Amino acid sequence: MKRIKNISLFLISIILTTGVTYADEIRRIVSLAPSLTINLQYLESEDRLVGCTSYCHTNRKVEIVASAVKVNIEKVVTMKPDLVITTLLTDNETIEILRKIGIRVVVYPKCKSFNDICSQFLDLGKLIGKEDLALTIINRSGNKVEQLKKSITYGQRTKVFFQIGADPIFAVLPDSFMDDYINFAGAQNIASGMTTGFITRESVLLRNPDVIFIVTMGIAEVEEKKNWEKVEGLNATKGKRIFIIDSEKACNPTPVTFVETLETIIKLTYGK
Amino acid sequence: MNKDYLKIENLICGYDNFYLDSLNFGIRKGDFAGIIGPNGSGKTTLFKAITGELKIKKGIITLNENILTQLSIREKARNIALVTQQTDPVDISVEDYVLMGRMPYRSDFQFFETKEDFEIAEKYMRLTDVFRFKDKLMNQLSGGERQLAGIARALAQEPQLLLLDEPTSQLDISHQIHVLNLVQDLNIKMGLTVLMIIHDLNLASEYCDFLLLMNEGKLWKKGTPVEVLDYRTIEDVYKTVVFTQENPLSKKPAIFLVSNKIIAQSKKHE
Amino acid sequence: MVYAKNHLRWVGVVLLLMVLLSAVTIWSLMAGEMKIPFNEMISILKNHSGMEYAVLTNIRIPRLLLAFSIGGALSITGAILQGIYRNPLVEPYTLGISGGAALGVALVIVSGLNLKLGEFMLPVAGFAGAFVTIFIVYFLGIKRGEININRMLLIGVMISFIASSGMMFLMSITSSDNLHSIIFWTMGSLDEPNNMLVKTMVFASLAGLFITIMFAQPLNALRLGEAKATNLGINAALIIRILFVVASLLAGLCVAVGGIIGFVGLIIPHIMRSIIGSDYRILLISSFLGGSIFLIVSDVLARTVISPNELPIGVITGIAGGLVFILVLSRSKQKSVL
Repeated sequence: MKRIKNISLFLISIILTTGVTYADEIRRIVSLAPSLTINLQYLESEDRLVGCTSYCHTNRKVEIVASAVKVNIEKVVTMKPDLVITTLLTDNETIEILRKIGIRVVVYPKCKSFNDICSQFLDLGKLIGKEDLALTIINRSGNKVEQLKKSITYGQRTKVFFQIGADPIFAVLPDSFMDDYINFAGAQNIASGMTTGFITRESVLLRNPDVIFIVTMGIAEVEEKKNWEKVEGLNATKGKRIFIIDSEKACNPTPVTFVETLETIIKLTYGK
Repeated sequence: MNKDYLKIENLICGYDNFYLDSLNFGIRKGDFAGIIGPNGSGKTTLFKAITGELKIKKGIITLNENILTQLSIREKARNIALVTQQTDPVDISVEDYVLMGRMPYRSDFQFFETKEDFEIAEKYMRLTDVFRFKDKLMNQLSGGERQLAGIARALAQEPQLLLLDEPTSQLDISHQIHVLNLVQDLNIKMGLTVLMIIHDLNLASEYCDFLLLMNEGKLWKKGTPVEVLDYRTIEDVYKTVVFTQENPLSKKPAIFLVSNKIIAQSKKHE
Repeated sequence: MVYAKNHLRWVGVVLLLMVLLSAVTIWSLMAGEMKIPFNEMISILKNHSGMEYAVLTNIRIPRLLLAFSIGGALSITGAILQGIYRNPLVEPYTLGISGGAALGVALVIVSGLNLKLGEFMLPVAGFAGAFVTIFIVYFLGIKRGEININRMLLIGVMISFIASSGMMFLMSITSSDNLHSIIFWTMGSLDEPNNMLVKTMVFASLAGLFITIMFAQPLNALRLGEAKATNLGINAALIIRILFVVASLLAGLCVAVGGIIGFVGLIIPHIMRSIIGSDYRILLISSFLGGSIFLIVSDVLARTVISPNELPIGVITGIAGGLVFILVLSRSKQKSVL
């Protein structure tokens, strides 16, 4: 099913972009989001990266053009990029000014599902002339995901709490791609009815999750794990299923890390 | 001919806990009138009613037959100048401060002073003996010097009616006499009408033609110094024992204070 | 017109400030990631040549114009308010205007109105928030029909607190994207792609200066207090109202366009007073020019000091401004500051 979707996406994008080839002209790229930088790395195009943020991880030295809060627009301009890619993390004014100067800016909205991750990855691949590689990666990831999904025997649905914030506690919401971790693992997100991610400790206890995943947040995750382990009546505590997950792997919307994380999640949830 | 220049009719005005109660009096043009009375008797309140700082509840104040509340702010400022008890320790030079007295004669938006303004300011600065400080800032002067500057500023307004609220309270004797002589001079030679609040009963007696004695928001007595400064009246109002005698030079009453020691001594003799 | 030695000194100060302004203007156009030498600037502008032209017209010139106008406007707003309140601690922000504006912007971001109706909703919201604050401060500050200045000050401070609590509430219930937008806006930024907005700001600041200078003498009289000013023939009550509205509108616009840039309205008038005295005929224009120079310099520093990272401009004005202020105060010989 997913495969058909991917192929049709591919066909549509081919049809739409026939006659319009930007791909060859993209030699200098500026990335204003760490997740996009990672995507570029998977697409074997880090060599074309000429500017990134101060919190991107790169294998070679790349000029820094932005901090967590502000983009140095002039610096971006001096890098003479053919393309600037960013997410909604960048403020509108910056994007407007860059476009006014005549720089091409592509903004990727928030990924709400694994599908989104794949289609954005494909879009980026198409943009920089790496469609084939992108497709390969997507297909491989998609296949692996199907495999993992089939490996689960559906029985009682495990209740999962995926914590991505401490003080205040923040849960993964249904409209985030991270919710797919839980869904594909055949489990149920205790935050499924919520619209905003802030959840009180009491609410978590009320919903009594069977498994708790906490992403790394500096050092806070260790404290949080201890806090949950103190609650004896909690299912997750009784079953000793409170785990810490690497946020680099879990929180970045890229196909490869998604699959790796999903694998880990399933392994930890069902103890295989 | 003896029409009242400043007329207060049935004035009721004040605050929640204190107000003037149906004041009635009139001052003729060219009078040098003094307002005396104990602390809190309503003297400054009366001034605030005249300048419009306090809204009048009942009654009318007229100046030269013009109802004050109907005059524009500017017209009032050209006719009435006020010197308050509080001096202004601001970072403005004495000359600029005195020049402010010329504001009623300029439009709001007029930027610079005229030559005439400077000349008038200089004249009054010399008269009050503050010309030598003209470039000093007000907050660099002593309280007494600031008081003199305040008087200069009021005079620069060239008013018809000058209101003085305790103009000599911070001055030494020589400056007190100097200022009062100056005001008396202007009163006699230029017909400047003066209404002065003053604590010192002797100075009031010497300089004022006409006295208004206030107490608890009411006008207790009005008249010439001889009529008002009778020792029984003073004792009633000030609750203090005094002794009066005629000043042989001016024929005005002079008031002598009586200390407890003297009272005790005289009782012994009885 | 009469010549007094004061007035010569005034002309000298204004000329000096204008020279400084020209110097920092040129510096700001030259400085940045892309160094543009002065001699090439004119030909670049004429020939529309290359990247330098794009950088100049889309980045540097708008920022320069905004720094000039916001710096100037905030300074004269501070000067006006300090004159009305006769209190050296008063500036637009202590009256809650920035709090109200920030709350307005936060509301729009959290409710998603800017996504539905367009990004221009943010400055509109900022201005509306500032305006509502002014309204509340003004009307609650009136007791029995008379302006009570101390009351207004207290109410303004209270509104500041309420607004920041309100903002914290909004920030705690919203998504992290919105949170980021709110924080970004609050930090203050002189980047502005909308040319219309830049032009409006410049025009408004110059108009504000012009209108306020007309009231220079009444402001001078107000230094003695409302009662004494009235005794000098000034319609103090009316003029205070007018000036308050002008100051608030200017401040509201500055916050709406530039975010929260603090300290300028507080320290520039002070510094100018300690140099040139408190006569409003010279203080207003000097404060405007001083504020412009200060903000232009702050902007250049923000762009270049920790290059390639860029500091939010509020950081520079806060730290630098605070240091300069302490320095001036410790050297000041005069006792009273007003």
